[in-house]
Amino acid sequence: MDFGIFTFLLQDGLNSAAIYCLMAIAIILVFTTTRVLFVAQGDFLVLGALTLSQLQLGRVPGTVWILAGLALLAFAMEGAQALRERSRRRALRAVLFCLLVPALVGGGVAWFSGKELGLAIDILATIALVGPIGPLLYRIAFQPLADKSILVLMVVATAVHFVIISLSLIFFGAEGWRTPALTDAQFALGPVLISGQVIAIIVTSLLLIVVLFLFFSNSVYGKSLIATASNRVGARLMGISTAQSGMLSFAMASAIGCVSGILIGSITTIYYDTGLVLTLKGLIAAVFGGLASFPAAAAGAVILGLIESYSAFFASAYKEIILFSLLIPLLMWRFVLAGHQDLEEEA
Amino acid sequence: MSSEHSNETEAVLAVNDLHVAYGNVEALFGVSLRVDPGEIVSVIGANGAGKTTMLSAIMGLLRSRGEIRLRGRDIASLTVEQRVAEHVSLVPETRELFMTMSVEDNLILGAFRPFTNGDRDYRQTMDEVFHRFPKLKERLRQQAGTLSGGERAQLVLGRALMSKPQLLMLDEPSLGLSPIITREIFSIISDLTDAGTAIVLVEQNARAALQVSTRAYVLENGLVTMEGRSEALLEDHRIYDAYLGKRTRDAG
Amino acid sequence: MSRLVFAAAAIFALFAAPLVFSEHRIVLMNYVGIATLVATGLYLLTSIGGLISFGQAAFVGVGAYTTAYLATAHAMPAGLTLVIMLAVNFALALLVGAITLRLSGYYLSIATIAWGLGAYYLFGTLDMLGGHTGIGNIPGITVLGVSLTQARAFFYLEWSIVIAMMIAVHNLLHSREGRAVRALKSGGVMVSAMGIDIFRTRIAIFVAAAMLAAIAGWLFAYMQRFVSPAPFNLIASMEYLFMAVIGGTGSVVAALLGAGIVVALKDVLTNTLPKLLGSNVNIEALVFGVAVVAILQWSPGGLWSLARRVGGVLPALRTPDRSPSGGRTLPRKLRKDPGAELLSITNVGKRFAGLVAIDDVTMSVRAGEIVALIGPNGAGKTTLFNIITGVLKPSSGTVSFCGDQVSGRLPNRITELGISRTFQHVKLVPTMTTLENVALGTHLRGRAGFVAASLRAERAENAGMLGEAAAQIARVGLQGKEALSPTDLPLGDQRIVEIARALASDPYLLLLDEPAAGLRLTEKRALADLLRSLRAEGLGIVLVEHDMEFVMGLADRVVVMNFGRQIAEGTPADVQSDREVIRAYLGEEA
Repeated sequence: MDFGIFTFLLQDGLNSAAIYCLMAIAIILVFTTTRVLFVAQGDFLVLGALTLSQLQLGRVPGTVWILAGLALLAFAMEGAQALRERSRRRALRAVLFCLLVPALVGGGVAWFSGKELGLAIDILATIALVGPIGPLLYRIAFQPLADKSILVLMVVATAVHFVIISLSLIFFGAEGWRTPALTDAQFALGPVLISGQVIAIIVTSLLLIVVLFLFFSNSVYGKSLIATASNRVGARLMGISTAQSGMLSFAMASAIGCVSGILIGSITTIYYDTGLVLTLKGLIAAVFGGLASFPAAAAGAVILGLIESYSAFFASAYKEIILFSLLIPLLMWRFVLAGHQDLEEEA
Repeated sequence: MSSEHSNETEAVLAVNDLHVAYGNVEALFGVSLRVDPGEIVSVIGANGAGKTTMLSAIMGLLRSRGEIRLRGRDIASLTVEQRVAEHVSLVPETRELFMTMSVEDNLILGAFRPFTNGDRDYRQTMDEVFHRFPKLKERLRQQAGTLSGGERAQLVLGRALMSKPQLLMLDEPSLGLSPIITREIFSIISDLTDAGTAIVLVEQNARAALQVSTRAYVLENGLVTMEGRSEALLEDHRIYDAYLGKRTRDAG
Repeated sequence: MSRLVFAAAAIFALFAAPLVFSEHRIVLMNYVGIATLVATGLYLLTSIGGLISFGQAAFVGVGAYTTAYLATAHAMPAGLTLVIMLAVNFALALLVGAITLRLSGYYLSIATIAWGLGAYYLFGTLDMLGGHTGIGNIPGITVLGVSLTQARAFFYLEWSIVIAMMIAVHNLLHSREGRAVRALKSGGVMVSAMGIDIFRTRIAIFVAAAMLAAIAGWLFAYMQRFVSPAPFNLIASMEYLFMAVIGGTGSVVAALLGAGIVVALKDVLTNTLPKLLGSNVNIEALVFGVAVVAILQWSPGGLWSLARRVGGVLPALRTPDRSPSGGRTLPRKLRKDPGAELLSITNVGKRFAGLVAIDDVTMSVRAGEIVALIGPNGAGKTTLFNIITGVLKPSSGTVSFCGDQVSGRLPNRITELGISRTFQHVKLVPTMTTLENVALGTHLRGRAGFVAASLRAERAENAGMLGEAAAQIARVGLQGKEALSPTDLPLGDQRIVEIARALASDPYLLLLDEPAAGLRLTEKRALADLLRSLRAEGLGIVLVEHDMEFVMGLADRVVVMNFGRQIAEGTPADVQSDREVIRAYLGEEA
């Protein structure tokens, strides 16, 4: 292997690492705040990339209909609960968040799509469409089961993954899509040429790590999310709404997923079912971080990206096998470190 | 300072005909209870008499029928979160600390509701808590799970105070504590009313509870069977037989 | 008996199916049979054992590929491929299980994703297995000279195997080891206190589920006569899991229900519906995803328990029909002589993260005496119980039992020595009858393993264990309650059931954690009488209790603990007049 190939593989590895890092951040975020191992995280990325690609083509993205369907379902559930509790406040909130806001967003996007308002507007529209899908999914699928075991929540997450890929297939078809590059800029880092897009991804990841670190360590709201996962009854006694905490985490997860999709949509072709493999690799990085530490997960993502890139060169056929086999010793290491905490969860 | 149902002052808490059922099994059969400002009211009774159930219902953790009035306003339809916002606070028997978080974070989260309602200055409240519990200041960065039993008891009270409660409900605050620490905690509890906080104290340790409280209710099988001034109840032979003296007197 | 008739009629009807249904239906039913085998494994592993596997399709794949390879490359007959394939899978499952079952909870589930995916990618990579194109031209299966290449003929072979396996799993679940499996979800402390080796039990159900999946793979290879990696990917594993969730719990038939519904729905959604709607939109994943979320929210016991709730035909819990005929019980160990030293605790201490829970406790218990352990909550009484039973390791000091060193042994090994306990918070298995719960206590008095149980070759021993359980239930005065779920009993009775379960292990020493809590006065008297009669038989009893009237009237000796320290020891009268005990625990007389 000469130096040229070495640097090429390095660059390739960093590309993947950046995406795995974004995945891992969202997975840890959701897990530490809701105890959900969210295997559908990558599907948000797919929705983000595919929505943007459709908007760029001047079409009304199917995401509008997905949003509308989920919003109506959530409205039915919230409405039923408002009736049961005879709570006018809950009813009003349901009308506002499950009817008016989604209608405004969906209707707005449908109205201006095709008017060629430029990439920036399309990106904002994509985030506005995909962002609310996370909290709606939480409300519909997870909130009624929020006090169940981690394993039950994991099965629910799997089911949610099935639902999203099915909807993606229905609305975007089986063919792959690409989005336009956000920037054509290239930067020379010594002998390594790195595209502006990759730098954007890396910067976004780093920024997210810093912002989330500050959010969880300094903000009362951030602490309230961790408290919810740590002890739901305790959180309620402090006046923290566990339902709102869950929806807030899922809103952040869908937003991060959507932004990741916008960032990588121009580097790789995205299909309706690309999400799962990306999630699983993000999960490897997240496990490296003990499903708790953002910086450790980021380091895990870099190691993973590099192993993947170099093993693709040396033993391309065995690349995935090597990556997923690594997960088992990683899990055992983390399991031993976690010690008795896991036993408490089981009891 | 004790006042028997003085109607001029508005009660902080007035519970009227409270019913709670677990499925088809009723646990509370029409309990009524009143707590005036600055008053400590203790609720004593045997295991399973419904004391914890009553507190959970007042807090909104359990569905109930009947009136729960906070300073005259019926809060029975409010959620737990909304009751916390109305400055109601419960320290449950199970403590429910955030074990994996630091002492400081536990205290900050105690102020979550006031904070989100615009009262952002939790540092000052925290200083007041440190004044009462100097030990907590030393342990600020430590994980709550690593504290000793006595320190946890202080943290759980401190965390409750962070929400500036007007009604504070304590479920078995002496549970699992040594007698010395129990005495310490009870002396702190009797000082908490300085700020006008009304306290409902549920205790197995009936003697200690009656000694710090102004009035008391006796709960048996989901019903209030006796109520009155604590000093009077301490002298009452029925209470003495059932809750105070029996352990040593009947033996042998 | 009527249920047996019903089952026979159902099997007869099933075997008549090839005579009436179309070829398409029969092929579909063959797919249902294969899925049922995998789902039956998951019923055992996940629904009952509580271990969630995202890798079951990989075992199907190993079974199918091993069969395909042997049948094509080495032209082996089906009987031989079956034997070798089972051996390969057994070894593999044992290896994977031995590594990953050290993990638990979600760690284990993630690990199953990892090796499931690893195996799938390996199928597509190995040249020996034909890479992504797979292995074709697998010869049809021939049994006793009859070719079973036709779907209708294959149907009989396949469903005979499926039904046999379902019966085997059903038998297993109502045996000694099966009761251990069914208790797994109720928490490790109680299960190991019954003398059950949790790790071994988990490995056993993991391997059993893998073997069922592998047999499904063997059938798949001979039915399709072609294998490729696609049917063994992660998505397929998730679908098998969905079958288990949709089918639910309560009976092994739930696996058939789940598999049948998923495979039939899939057929309708991919073949019939698009033709009707004139589109090629594929909505099966959507339907399954929604179904799983809806079932978990509305009927966590799956469709089987929903159907039973709606129908109300079948009884909620299996009545113990393999009942103790003739009052057969188990042989007893020889009692220790009264006065012989059983338990000896020397200078035991325990620290948790700087907190001293127990500080230098020394005490002993002899056969034929009742020792009460009293003190305020948090004084360290339950911690001491946990040290004696091996749940916790002491930080210092030693515990020995009948001369054997106890500290350092695993909890299930300590139970073997003859120590048995009850729990402060009742730990009974809600999905088992009271009789079966008590029979858990006899675990160490039986020997029959998983294979014997599947074949019902342990009938005599199992009857003895259930008979012993019934005898213990009668001994504590709860006869007539055998077939009820413990959750239908009042709390007081549940505590008594725990005592019966502890007695069922035929112990020398009984540790009771607050047995009188929540009991009415008459029940307390009955309990005291029972404990006296046990003492008269030569049992040693240690009792943690708050009810002083109960303790002082019963105990021979009282040990008082406070703040982790032992502050007094002596007869009830001594202790009650001890100044320090009065100050710290009993309180001053007013």
